[in-house]
Amino acid sequence: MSDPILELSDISFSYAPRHAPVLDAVSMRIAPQSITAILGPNGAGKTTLLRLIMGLRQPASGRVQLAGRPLESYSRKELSRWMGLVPQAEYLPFAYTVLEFVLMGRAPYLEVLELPRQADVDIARHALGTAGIADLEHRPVPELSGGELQLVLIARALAQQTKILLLDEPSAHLDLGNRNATLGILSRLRQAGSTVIFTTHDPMAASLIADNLVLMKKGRIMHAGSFEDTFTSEKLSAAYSTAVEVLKLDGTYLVRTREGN
Amino acid sequence: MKRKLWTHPLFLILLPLAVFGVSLMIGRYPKPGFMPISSLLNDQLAQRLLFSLRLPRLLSALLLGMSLSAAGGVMQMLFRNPLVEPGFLGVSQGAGFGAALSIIVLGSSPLLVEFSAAFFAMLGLVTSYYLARHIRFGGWILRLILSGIIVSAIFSAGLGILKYLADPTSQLPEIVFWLLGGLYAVAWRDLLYILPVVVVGLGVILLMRWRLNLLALGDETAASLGVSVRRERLVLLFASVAITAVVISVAGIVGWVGLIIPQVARRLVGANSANFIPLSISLGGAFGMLCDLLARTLTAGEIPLGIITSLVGAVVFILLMVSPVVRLKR
Repeated sequence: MSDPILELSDISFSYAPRHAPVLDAVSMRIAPQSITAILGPNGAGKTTLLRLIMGLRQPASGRVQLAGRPLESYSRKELSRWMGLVPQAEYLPFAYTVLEFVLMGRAPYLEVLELPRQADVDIARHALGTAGIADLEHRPVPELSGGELQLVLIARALAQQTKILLLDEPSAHLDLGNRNATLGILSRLRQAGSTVIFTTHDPMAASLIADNLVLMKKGRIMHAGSFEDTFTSEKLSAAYSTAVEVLKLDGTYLVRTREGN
Repeated sequence: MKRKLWTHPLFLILLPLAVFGVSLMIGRYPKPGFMPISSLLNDQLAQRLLFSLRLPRLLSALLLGMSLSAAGGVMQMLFRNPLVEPGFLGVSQGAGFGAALSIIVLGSSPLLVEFSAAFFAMLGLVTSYYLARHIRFGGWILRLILSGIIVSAIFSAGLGILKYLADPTSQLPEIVFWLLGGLYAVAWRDLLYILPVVVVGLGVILLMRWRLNLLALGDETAASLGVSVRRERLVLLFASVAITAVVISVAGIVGWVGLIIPQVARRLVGANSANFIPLSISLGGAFGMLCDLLARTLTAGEIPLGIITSLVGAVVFILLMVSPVVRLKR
């Protein structure tokens, strides 16, 4: 494996002292230009892991390295030029238009007192094009459907022009068409040189684009590695504590579960 | 087309300027209505009245409207709640308490009352902020709103006690009149002390007007976009409260401006604070002067400003929101 762009060593974290750890001795290496899917049951610590990678929370122990440097050595602004985060959902109290909203992705490149320039507007428009939603430009964000909002959030992260993109459940709430559109965007981003990490509850979505897979359970990594090695009936069953069967059909994976054991 | 007008810098400057010019010439001297240019040129009393009474009063009304509207807009964004008004963090009630305390204990010299009101307004903010940091549950917004309500309640109870103790023939009417708000007592020396605060505060808010959008997205998203959330929020919060506190200390509690003007501005140009904050300031300035004009000219006496702003504010809001002529943003 080439030099990792992100390296987590022995990360532990809990939201309050003396509480059970949400992450327990988590280590992983992320290669540049790869897509990593993080899979695991609810409460496994997937979202928390993304927050720590993004530097929004500090680990209680262990360290995160970005491009060979400790994460703490980056300023908030530097980090926001390296990594973009697509949150699961976002509560928006004011009715921005889609373009105004996506333009906020340009903040990492603006000084505190600066307003976005025409170049920033062009980049935001380009991001809308990449996400396939150029026609939504003037729509108020609160009026969008769940799927459209997801694409808008992705477009904002694209406007950030970062090398790494972190996505929290990008395919939840999406219909099949929108899910495939989203996965298509991610896979094109990797071709263009980006590193993508996303959490998901949908093993099928992971199977369509992921190079690497991380299986988490109760704050620990159960299995991690290349997709082929990790996406097996045995390992998925262990992670989800339920019988999961992986079938391969004409080169695509099918996952099915049976009730009970 | 509409949107272009509302965000055009020339319009934003000319609107309050026009109201300023008109208001300056309207009053009850030499007779009710417009002051003729001839008396301005020849009549010394007219010149003095214009310069020493109307001008400082008009300027304060301008600063008052601009400050409350800007601060209201900023706080609505910071608290991600369009129903927040600028005095809610214990600032308005603190000012009221301070003014009443001064009227009863220190005497009613305007300077003392203003100083005491400003002091307790800031104390209200500091107490709310301090309390919010020590509440052991909830997110930042919930804690701060809650402590604002609590601190306001304490000051409002204190104000009640002071009113109860006040001499009903001399002190009580003075307290009540102060609480209703008004600029009747404003002189140049008041401007001297509110102007620097308002210029700096409004300057900060105007310069950071686009940045405000990011803070309205919530802490984590803002941080992931490279914002130093705590620092930038504190700067904006302090700027808004400072300008609110100084204008309230001079004018008394003038309600509704800070709640309604940002709402109106947002309906006209949309949620982007880079657009609606400048419009808020411009509309607020014009609105403040218009309301004060009505307060001093409608009757031979003086109608408290707070009454006018609430009444006119509500009517203007209704007209704007239901009129099919005005194109609104959602």
